[in-house]
Amino acid sequence: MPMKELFTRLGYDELLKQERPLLGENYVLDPASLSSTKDFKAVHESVFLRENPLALVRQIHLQNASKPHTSLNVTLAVCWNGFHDALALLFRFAGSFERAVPLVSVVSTMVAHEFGDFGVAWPWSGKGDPDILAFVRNNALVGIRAHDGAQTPVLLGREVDTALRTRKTTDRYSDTAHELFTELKKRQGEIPRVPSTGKLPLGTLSEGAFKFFFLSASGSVNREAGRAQSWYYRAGTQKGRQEITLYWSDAGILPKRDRLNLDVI
Amino acid sequence: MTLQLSTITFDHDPLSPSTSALNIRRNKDFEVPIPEYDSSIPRTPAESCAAFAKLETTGNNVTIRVHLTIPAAANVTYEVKASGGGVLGKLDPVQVVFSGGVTDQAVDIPLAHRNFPGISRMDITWNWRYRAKGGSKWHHLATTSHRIYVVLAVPPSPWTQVFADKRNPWTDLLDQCCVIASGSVDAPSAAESTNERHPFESCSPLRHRERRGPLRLCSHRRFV
Repeated sequence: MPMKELFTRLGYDELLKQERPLLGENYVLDPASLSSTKDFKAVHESVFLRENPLALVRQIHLQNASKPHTSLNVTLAVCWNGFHDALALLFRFAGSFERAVPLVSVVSTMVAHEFGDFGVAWPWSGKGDPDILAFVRNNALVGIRAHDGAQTPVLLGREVDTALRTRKTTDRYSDTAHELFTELKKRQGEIPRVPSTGKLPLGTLSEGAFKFFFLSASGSVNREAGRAQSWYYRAGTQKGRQEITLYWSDAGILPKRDRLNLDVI
Repeated sequence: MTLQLSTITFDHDPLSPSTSALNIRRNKDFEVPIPEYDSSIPRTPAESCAAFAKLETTGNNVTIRVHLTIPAAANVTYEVKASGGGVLGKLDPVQVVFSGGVTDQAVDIPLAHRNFPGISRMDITWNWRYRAKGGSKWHHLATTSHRIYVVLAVPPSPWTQVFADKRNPWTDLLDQCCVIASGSVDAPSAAESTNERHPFESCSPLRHRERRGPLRLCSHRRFV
């Protein structure tokens, strides 16, 4: 039975006809504050912006402090464009493994463990506690890959889902002004101009606790060689009105967004 | 009067991978500077780099664009050539004409002796020389070094040749792929090299799976 057929059997196609609100309040996964992971420590963390579907993805590798062999790889993603994208990411997550998924052992997290709007879980051995668990709550995806994790994935999934389910929601995301763009507009006017293939200095960003991601339909936002905290826009060959979008995040999973219009002449 | 080599641009036509170097970047954050060589900015060969596509350049007049300067306006003509060049080959003498008060002149120099046998990454050096037209003695002009990547063809989607796009091929990846698949002359042999000499070779489960199953490293195969 292929994965798609399994998802359909678990109600995936029906969910695609539905809508869910957007996560409206940030969530920071702090392993020390959760009963399921109080014995774990974060040993590696990475954050990136996925463009298709548009999502901020945070991957956290947790290791049991006393039994390093026991580890959890947790993926948290917020899909900016909503619930359907989170479902699409879940499907990709489930299909991303080199190992053959024991499809007969895959269960719904909603049915078997009573959490998530939709989710799947399975043990690699075909029986026992799940090693892999992934679910969607509103527009957030949670994926857990456990090694020698026993019941921890289910307990962690339930705790994270409770936290996500009880957070405020919203129907749409609005922009938050970022000083990088407000300062630039003061210097260059509301709609800065840049020649085709030319360079527009944007300013400096102190990264510290924040991660910054830029998107642009034409051209690109780059770091200055030798001054990595300074950013500039390199215009493409396409002239006319262009938009740069800045997403930034702190330790949580919900990014903020600001946009800058400019004219490539 | 002293002639000076000011800049060398390999990617001088962002719309043409057949007569110019490819649009590339270092990685998601950093561009490759253009012009790739600038006498006023010290750069390592790896920073002064360019990539060429074998398929698209075959049979075409591939050129580099060189800017030369003289310190004061004069009506004078020079010949410029370069020896060495590795896969890009030596550069035959070209004339550079300064007149009408011009002190900075651009000239396109054909890579007439290039040799792209297959995938490669090579640090090359050109020893530039010049002489006044009609003169007999060649003078040292400059020595420049560059990292040159040769791929079989323009890397397909998700890579793109749209100028200034983040998905222009990354030299951080070319530094791996072009070494791993060095010498490959077609896509199947490049894929085989990549599969056998992948950096994850020591990871036995992955190696086992790659060798037993169908090729999964499609991006590597398609990249080169």
